[in-house]
Amino acid sequence: MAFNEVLAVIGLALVAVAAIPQIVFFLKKGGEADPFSHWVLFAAGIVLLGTIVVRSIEIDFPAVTNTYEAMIFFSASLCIVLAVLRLVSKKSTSALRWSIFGGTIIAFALVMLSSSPIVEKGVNPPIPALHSYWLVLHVTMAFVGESFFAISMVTAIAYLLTKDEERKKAIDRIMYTTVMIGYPIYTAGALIFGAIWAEYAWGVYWSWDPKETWALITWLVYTAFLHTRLVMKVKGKVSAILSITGFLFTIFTFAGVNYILSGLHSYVRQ
Amino acid sequence: MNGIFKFFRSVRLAIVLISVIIVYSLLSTLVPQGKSGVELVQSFGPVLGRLVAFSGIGNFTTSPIFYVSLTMFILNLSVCSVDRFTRRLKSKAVRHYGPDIIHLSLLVLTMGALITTTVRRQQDFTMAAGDAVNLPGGYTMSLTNFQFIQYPDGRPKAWISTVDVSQGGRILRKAYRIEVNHPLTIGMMKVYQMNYSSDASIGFIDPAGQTDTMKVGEAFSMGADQLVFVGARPAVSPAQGWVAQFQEFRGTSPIANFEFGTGEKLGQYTIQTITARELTGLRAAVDPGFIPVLIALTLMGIGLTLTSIHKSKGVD
Repeated sequence: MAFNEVLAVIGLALVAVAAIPQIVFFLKKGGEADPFSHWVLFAAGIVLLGTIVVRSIEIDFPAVTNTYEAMIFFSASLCIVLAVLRLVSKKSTSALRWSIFGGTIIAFALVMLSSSPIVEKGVNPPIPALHSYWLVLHVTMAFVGESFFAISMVTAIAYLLTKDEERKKAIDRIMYTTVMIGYPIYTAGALIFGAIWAEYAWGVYWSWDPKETWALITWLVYTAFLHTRLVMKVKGKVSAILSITGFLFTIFTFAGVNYILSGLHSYVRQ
Repeated sequence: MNGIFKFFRSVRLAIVLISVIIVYSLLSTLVPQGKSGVELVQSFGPVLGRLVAFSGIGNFTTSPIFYVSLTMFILNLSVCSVDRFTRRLKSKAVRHYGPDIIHLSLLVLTMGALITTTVRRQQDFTMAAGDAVNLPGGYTMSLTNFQFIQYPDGRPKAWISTVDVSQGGRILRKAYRIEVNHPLTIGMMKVYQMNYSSDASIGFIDPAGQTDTMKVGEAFSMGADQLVFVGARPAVSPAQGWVAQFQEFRGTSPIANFEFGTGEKLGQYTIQTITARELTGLRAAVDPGFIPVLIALTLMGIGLTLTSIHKSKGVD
């Protein structure tokens, strides 16, 4: 097994280890938070980033140019965002604990999926179109933004399952804050840097390629989330449904388009 | 008049229009674009095919539904922006302009897209080393060298077109290297490296011992199958020259791809020579719309940053 794959396995193990105290403290009554799972998550994020660094050294270019690397980077980003969210939160509510646990499950699932036989894991230097630092900014910032959307989505599920009004308020706050942070990062990565890269690579900043269209649809869903909330003052259930819809579209934009629809981004299958 | 203003100021209208654009653009990714009504009926059946053709989803960006919803959205955005901005000016509350800048950026973006749609010009062409081409604006571009660099596994690493550009006999660029992601800029025009091809031919000895030649598109008969000569690529080692590429067809269906070097046998035929000229695929484009789009993207970044800062401070 190559060194970068060993790091990915260690990263996966650390994510699994982080989930154990989360479950134990989640089931415990009293509402206290586990004292160390966020540090384990942080370590997992760093180790998974190590996978990307090792591959980058091997190909002499930031290794975020195929589906495997994208999944590992997404998972690493999510782990680090979860750890930071836990560290900056002033108090540990059950809503926060659920958000972090749900996010941890998604991070675990991403690394597991990256090991699937249909995901090509070869360490290959990029083809000419992908050899651009605009692409690196485009991909990395889009995934950091999507990490916040993932947390918002699991929080939205908790909102729909909760009956306690006080808890709902706390959950709603996390759901909104994560979208509010993720939205500008996603916009910069997916749309702004993506358009600049396309202009340099293909001579046209927008082609209505399926991937572009789905990224725009995702952005419009989160735009609707923020407008219904900030201007129309609609919160709660509508926000939760939009958050879940937005993340489903995010996942389809990332994975579904690559395998189902063809277009300029089809090379990510390679 | 006040009623029309109120209608277009409505956030509900914005949400409805966003929903329409989401659903319509989503459907457009599931339907092949640019197909005729007959082709759509063949693909989707008589009822669904006619419905797809009537709705214009098969020609998404030129369809009436797309234009009407986008025009309504621009009007909605413009009225909302003006309304919001004037209310801000009258208000004594703390002023923060992040959302205004985001709305302004979307309007500038739309303006840029409109310029691109109506004014953008593009010309795709291929050149071999030594060729010259006349470009809009009185420029002449000559290709002095073309390199196709491959990774050891045969995947493309770089296409590098080295060009001289002159105007009225005066050299403007000397030995400029155009690569993918590194276009040449001359005034408002950009020249992009797009792809690579070759115009190839092979010399071969047939079963009767006669020498013959074959061009791209011609085929050998192999029993029930046809082995079509589709092109040539440089061998990974330059000393080995070229590799001829073939595609095997059974009826009209491609069933396999093959590559052969000089001296190799295809059934009873022996390849004697492979000659080819490497052609670089370039695109010259003039798009005055990209400058407003770039300004819009910058404004959007500024607007989003300011809004995030305000929200994090709890100003709103």
